[in-house]
Amino acid sequence: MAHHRPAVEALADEVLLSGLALDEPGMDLAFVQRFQRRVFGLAVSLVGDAAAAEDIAQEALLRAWRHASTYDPRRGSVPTWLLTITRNVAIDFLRLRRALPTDPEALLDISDQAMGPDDAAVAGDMAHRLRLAVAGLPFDQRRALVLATFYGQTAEAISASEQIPLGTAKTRIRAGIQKLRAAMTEPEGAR
Amino acid sequence: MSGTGALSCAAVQDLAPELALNLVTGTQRSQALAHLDGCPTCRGVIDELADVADSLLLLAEEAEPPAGFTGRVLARGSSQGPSAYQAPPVLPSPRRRARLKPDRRRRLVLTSVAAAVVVAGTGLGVGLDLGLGTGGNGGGGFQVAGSDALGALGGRRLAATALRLHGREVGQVFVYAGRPSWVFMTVDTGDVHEPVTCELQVDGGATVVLGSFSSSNGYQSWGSTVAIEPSSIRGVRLVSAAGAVLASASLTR
Repeated sequence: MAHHRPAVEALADEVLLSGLALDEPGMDLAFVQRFQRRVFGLAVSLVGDAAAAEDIAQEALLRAWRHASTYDPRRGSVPTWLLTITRNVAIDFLRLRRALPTDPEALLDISDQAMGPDDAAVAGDMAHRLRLAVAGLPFDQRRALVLATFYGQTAEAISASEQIPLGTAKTRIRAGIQKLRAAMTEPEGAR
Repeated sequence: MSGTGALSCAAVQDLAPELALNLVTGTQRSQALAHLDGCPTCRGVIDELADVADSLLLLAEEAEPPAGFTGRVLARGSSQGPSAYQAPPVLPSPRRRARLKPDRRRRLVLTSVAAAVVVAGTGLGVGLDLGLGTGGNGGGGFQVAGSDALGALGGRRLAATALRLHGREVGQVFVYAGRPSWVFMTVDTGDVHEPVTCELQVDGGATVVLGSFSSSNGYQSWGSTVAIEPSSIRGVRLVSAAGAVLASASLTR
């Protein structure tokens, strides 16, 4: 019986990453092509400079490639793992510059227009609900949460940069993420 | 649950947002990790918050990288080679470190084995889904038999189960029935610094010595082809040169 060779592009993210770790032919190209838009998109959002973003995106993809064998599905999805690496590389870059080159609020374009067709088709309801939940946060909480999640800033750092008491910074972070969790875990239609 | 570490459940859950965002450092982090190690309730709380925080990263807009980007990444990746790259690994967040522990090694190996089978199967025009992405082998083992991919590779059965010592999981063993058949294992032999012998217990109660490997650094991986029918293997036992059982596993038909 004749078999049709399935495209590498059709492999699940986890299988693709495992193939990359095993040095299987073609996996490197498929891996980079599959994730480069996400990785570069986050990098350029974080540093606001295309040239620096390319360096960061390259480094993130290479780091993931080299450590592909350490990926554990229970630590999150492959895109989440990869974007966490990207964020960490970007944070290292920004610490050297000692600056936030982009407006934190701009990172989370909360308008529905910002949602591309992939969001609707793949992330779908989850992404939409999260965007709505983020949009529903008070400005101060949203800003604190972005500084913490995207830039890895501690409550102490946010307190210093925003010139607010430490307790206020902690409260904003806690309240923000707790509200998002509540929005994401409540039953469909409960809103 | 309380009393499982230096911090109470209330204290850990008060810290949960910062823990989930990986913003806690120093002694407080150590104390929280100690608590999370034994408290699934608190781990669950932090998991939920961390999942939300991680999801935020997915909301960042995608963007087309500059022309030639793909080629530059591939060129750098190919020229450096896996062993040349010295970047430190990404540390998992506290909630994830707490839940990785011994089970993590099994998952990594299982994923790699699954990928090896799937990748090999891809070249032959078939695929195999071992269902490893959603957990489900909480009992410490799984078996795959009669799949198209295994058949295309000349295999009949792939089984995996935990190697244990006094009930504690210390490794995993894989038994592959194919051409050739093989046994592969990863195991933590602790402080044993002497040759380890792998014995197979087969139907009828007989013991077959599969081979030996040196143990010097605790965590080992070893494998060998087997000449006997793999389905007859009922157990795997690792024995030190002094005769002490270091790990054992049972296999069901």
